[in-house]
Amino acid sequence: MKANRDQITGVLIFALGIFVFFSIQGYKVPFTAAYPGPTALPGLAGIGFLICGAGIFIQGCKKKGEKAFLSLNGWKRLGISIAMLALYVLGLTYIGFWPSTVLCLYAFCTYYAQGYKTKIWQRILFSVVFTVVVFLVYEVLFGYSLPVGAFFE
Amino acid sequence: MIEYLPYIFSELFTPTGLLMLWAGNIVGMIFGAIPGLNGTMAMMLFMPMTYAMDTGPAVIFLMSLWIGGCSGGFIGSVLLGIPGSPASVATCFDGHPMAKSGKAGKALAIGMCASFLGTFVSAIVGGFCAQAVADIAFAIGPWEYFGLCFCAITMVLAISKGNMLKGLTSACIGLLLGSVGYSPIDAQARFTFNNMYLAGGLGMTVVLIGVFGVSIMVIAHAKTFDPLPEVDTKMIRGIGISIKEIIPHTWTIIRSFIIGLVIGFLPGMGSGLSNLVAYSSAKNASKHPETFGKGEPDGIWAPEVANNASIGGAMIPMAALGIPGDTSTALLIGALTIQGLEMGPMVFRNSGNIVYMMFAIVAVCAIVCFFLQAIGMRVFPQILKVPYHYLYPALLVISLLSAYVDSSSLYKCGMMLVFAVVGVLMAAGGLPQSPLILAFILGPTLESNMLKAFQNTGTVTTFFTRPLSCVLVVIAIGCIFSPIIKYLFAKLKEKKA
Repeated sequence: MKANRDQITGVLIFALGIFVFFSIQGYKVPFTAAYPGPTALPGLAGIGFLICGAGIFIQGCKKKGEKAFLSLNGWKRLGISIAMLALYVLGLTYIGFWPSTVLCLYAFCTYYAQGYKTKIWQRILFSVVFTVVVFLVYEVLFGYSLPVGAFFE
Repeated sequence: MIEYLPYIFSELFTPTGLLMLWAGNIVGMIFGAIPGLNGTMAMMLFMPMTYAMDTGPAVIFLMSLWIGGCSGGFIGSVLLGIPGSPASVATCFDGHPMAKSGKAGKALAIGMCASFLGTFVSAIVGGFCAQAVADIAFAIGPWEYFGLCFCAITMVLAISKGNMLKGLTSACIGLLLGSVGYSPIDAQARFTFNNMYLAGGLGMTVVLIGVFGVSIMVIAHAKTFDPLPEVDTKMIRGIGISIKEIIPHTWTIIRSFIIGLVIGFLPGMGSGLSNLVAYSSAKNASKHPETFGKGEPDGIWAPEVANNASIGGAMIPMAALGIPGDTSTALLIGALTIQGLEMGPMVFRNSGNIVYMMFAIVAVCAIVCFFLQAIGMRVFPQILKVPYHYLYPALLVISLLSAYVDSSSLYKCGMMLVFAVVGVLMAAGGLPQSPLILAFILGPTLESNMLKAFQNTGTVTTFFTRPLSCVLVVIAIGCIFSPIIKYLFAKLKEKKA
């Protein structure tokens, strides 16, 4: 039998609750009725996870048929977007703001424009102009320093 | 209050102040109008920029983004039949049918006037009431504050339609994320895994933009951007409404205003709920309820007045108690704390000028929005045509750079990506995001007040022996168990029948 989304969510939430309970053991200020200490808030969340996880799982068992959250192609697109963002963070770390932002914007524009009619020069122009605008706003106007990149430090 | 007028004028009517005001309103309105984006997201994305500003311009910019976003929500609802934000869901019911029947100009004009009236009058009422609420707040202690925070979180759950368990899970995730770092009072390291970046907590920007911003954009692309319907700009002629046409709707306006103000005032609730309540009450009170859903003007007046009246309502508990009325005010509280302003009753004594300036900003923003909408009515369809393949890459880059400038650390950018994945998983599991935001922001306040209360009395019973605290805690518990209570009542009714 194939598990539905609610069942998977329920199990994950329940597991999170167990993890929280294990993590809050051994804090130096113990939980007492007179003073709940630092375990109170995460403990409350942990109890919530256990109850809700079980409840969502039971709800899922009663559910019949559901619409997929994303198609397989959709998950692929989502994964590619996250991977591109991760590459951008790497780019910021090693080659700095300028090259990585222009490249990231161009890559995203091209990828997100699939199915639409756009011209290459428009995407390049947008990537360069927007990078300059971001630089002017963050670094010149507000005085933040943007990443230079490990290779250029 | 009058003694603060010179300060308000000196901050608001300077070139910087006016630039922030107009820029914030325009950007907020664009975010409010485009389906999938909203004013709250605009506040999140641009909040890190304000850290480098002085308090005055920072507050003006953030408030303008919020008001612009709230006011612009009706544009998408009227022209596309797709709500720009949750606050404008009910506006679709009659706004779009009216636009389709060739009266787009009139529908937009009603939305414009309703937004102006709701925002402007609620700011004035809020300005007068906040001090009185703050005076009462001096008499309350950590027990009542704990009750208020608890109430704010659980009330959001009560409106998580049919999915209380998922709402509660989301709130628990918010509490868990809020507890990362050193605990208040006892300084116990929690969930830090010996990582120095986690010792100081997760940071609002990283969590909220990751969960609420980046995840929404990548999911929108994964689901493919649906092409928006074409809008015929020839349908829009003139401002489209006269005073004569407004007068017959006076009662709807007043009723909806009161609904919006009260719902906005309640902790945890806001414009997302008030527009729906006002719409159904206008329909119930109407002599011709059958005209609703077919382009009835009352069906636009009611939700638009109510969702904008919630602004002034939400600002009262925000300023006087430090308790957010909705997610936008929760964000504002966080942003103001970074600016050194701790919201709550003391803020009227320590920074009364800033508080009254906030109410003045809302009133001025209402005028600016009205003006912008009146002259820009014909541009609205163009705003809605902004290509997503340019808009989303730009916003994604801003999101990641926001995480960087927030902490000057690329580690936080990576952390934001992790929270984007958390947001995706939450969306896949059907978990709503509002309870997470409120619980994450209110969690530390809730915890420190709870611990202070225990330090004072050493017993849990004092939460129930102090009248206000008892009422609030009982309401909060009632909200959690509301589905069971409703179920039992329904069973009881069935038995009686």
